[in-house]
Amino acid sequence: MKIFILAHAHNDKDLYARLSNYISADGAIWIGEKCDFDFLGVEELIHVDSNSSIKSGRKLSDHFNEQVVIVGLDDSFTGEILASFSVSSCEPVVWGCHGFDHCKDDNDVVLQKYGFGGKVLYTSKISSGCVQFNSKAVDSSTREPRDPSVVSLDGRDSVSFEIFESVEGSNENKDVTSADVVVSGGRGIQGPEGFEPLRKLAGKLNGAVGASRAVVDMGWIDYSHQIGQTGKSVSPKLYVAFGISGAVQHRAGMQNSSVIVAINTDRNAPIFDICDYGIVADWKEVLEKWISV
Amino acid sequence: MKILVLAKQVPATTDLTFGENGVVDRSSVPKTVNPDDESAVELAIQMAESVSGEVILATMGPESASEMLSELGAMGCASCYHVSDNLLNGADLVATANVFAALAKKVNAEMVICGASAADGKGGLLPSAIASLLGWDCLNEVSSVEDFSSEPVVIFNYQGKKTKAKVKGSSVLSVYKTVAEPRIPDVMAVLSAPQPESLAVSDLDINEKALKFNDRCEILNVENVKKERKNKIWEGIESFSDFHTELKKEGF
Repeated sequence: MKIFILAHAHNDKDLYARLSNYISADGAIWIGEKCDFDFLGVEELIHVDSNSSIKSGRKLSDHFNEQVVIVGLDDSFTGEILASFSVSSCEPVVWGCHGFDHCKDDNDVVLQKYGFGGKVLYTSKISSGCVQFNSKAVDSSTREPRDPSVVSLDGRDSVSFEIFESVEGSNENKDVTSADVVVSGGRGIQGPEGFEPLRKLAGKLNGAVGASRAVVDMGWIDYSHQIGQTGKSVSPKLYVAFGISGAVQHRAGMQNSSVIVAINTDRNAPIFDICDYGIVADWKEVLEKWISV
Repeated sequence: MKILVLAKQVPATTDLTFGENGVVDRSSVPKTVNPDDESAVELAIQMAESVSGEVILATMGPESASEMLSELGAMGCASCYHVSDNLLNGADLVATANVFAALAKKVNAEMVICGASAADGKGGLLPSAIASLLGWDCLNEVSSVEDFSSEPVVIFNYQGKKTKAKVKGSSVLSVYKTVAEPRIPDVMAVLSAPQPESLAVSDLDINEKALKFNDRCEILNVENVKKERKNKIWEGIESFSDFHTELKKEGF
């Protein structure tokens, strides 16, 4: 069985380098047009010239006639490619992994992943298929770049949709799932304007802005920021909850964070039951002090 | 135009128990409709209304899912299918995608709409997997729809960016709940809602290999995780410097 790492033009180069160091793959797969990544330590590079995730997955399924495990990062485009490969080849896909162990003797890969908001830890084994790796779990890079032999696959084809434009401002904020620090706001921040100082603190900590379902439902911030059972699951190094009560639905999306900080005026708010550090105080006062230190 | 909408019944709580193989014990917990899926049904109905099409609703799951189909079907669906079969207990992505792709072919669907994510599973990969099997494209994480014609204009996540596009052919759309506010059916609509029709695996043309999910991934261990927290809490803003000192020790 061979292990290939998958990358595309919208992946973060540094994150890719850390993943390829962590996994120690035989080969790499590049999806897209011109390729400008350093492929660390791999012997073989497969280049799929395509902008379609679905067609790329199918192309890869047609290409491989041996047992292969493809490992990608946890962005949505990678997920689409791996899902397409998985069903085209009838091989499994395991997403959200944070542990990867390849035992060359028995030719299997042992994976670990958390499920249900971090309440359960699964250990599983596959001999072929796809793995979507939790970008929080990859280590630093030490492998050297090299010039692999390149196989090109032409995946260019028409798609069933016509792109008009990227929507302005949609990419201004860091994605909550890949950020090391997430600063979240709930009903306690009193209105959409409350997110402005939260963005300042997130910027200072090089983090992303999250939100509870209640404030997303009220239209204070875009759905892409929602954390919880019906939003995104995050596991940052630091999660800061401003004015969030900590309902179980919210906790399901963040309780796997390494360090949890809660700021709330209500000492009985359930968020204090699961935090490492908390301050019972007005969120604005804490935020102002934190930004100014 | 025939639009197939997929809905899922999910646990209404995070207080779940798990079987030995890591599969959730769904029998003992209250259930609800996956939040994105209600909006998916509403969007499909609005699109069907604008092009004289019809909405076909489907789910896969245990007996109790039929109640959900009846509720959602009353919103204005033409027919409902409930795929339920012991062969599908613990089905993975490949098996589930094959079931719905086969159903889309059976009902001659020209579009498939479903929720962007399920409250009890964060993969969000099913829509792309169904599209791949049908040979269609997939527009994921659709957050709004501007034109409800047969070629809808949508805002979706394309390669990590919110992008506006016109859908010009058969596609799978995965949608957030922001696409449409689900209607509440009136009494007449409830009384005339379509009765769910049960389907088994044998009623669908499914690749046999797709159903052998136990061969694809072996669960070695399932462990309940309880993380110990420091739970150090200060009262009042005057304790901020103590709080900040502790955070600094953690490296922040």
